[in-house]
Amino acid sequence: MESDIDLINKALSGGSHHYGVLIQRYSDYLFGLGMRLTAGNRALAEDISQQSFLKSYTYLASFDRTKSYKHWLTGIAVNCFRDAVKKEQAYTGLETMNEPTYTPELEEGGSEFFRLIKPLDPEHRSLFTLRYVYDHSVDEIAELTQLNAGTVKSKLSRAMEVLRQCHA
Amino acid sequence: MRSIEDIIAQEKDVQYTQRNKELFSYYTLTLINQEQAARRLRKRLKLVLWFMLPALVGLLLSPATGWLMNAFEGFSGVNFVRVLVMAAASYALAGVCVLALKRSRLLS
Repeated sequence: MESDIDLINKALSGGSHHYGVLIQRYSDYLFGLGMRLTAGNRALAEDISQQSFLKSYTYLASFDRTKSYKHWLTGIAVNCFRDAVKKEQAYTGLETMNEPTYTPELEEGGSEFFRLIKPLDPEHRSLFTLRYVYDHSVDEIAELTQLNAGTVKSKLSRAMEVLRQCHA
Repeated sequence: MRSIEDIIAQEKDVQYTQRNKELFSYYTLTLINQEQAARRLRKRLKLVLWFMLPALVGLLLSPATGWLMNAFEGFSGVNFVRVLVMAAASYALAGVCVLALKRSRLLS
């Protein structure tokens, strides 16, 4: 099996078809991440994974090959999720501006995890998912989300507090 | 009720799969190619505009400007034959430009 770096080099020099292998390799991973970030919104999860691949290809030349491609892709997906939420909120009318606007629809019989994280706002949900489901360290999350480590820590403890209150 | 830790532990074992991976990959690659083609076209258009700029400035400064102004003044009394001739000339010019662009694309 060819390594990610080999495929990236080939995609950059020989055209986009080599990138197809990378898409197939990480499509399930990104889709799973999207499902968790959106708390079970399949359509949005598919959209986020597609946007992440598009953005990743656009900036492929600037990818630091000493780092992991999967990790880089995760950061792009989190940013795409953030953009999707912003876009969703931009379309909200003035009368609903103070209400929570982003309400992902749960798949029928949505998992217990989706019901658990539903009370969290999108930012807390993404930090919580990265920390506790994907086991990223606080520093890694800070790098992925372009926040500082202290902010990540406090947001994570706030998210856990909210969940404990809702789950009690 | 199960604890938060148990729910998270169970979620870690869940595998999500795209509905149709081949189709997804094909569609994403198509979008990538489309975006690249659009970018190439924008780049070429910019280049063409830069090349045309001196010609346009030259045209504005040349005596032909006077003739063009006279031609435009002629539009005040609408002459359909003249309008048709101008339209045909414009379309012919546009056609030549499109052909030239296509040829340059084939050569590149």
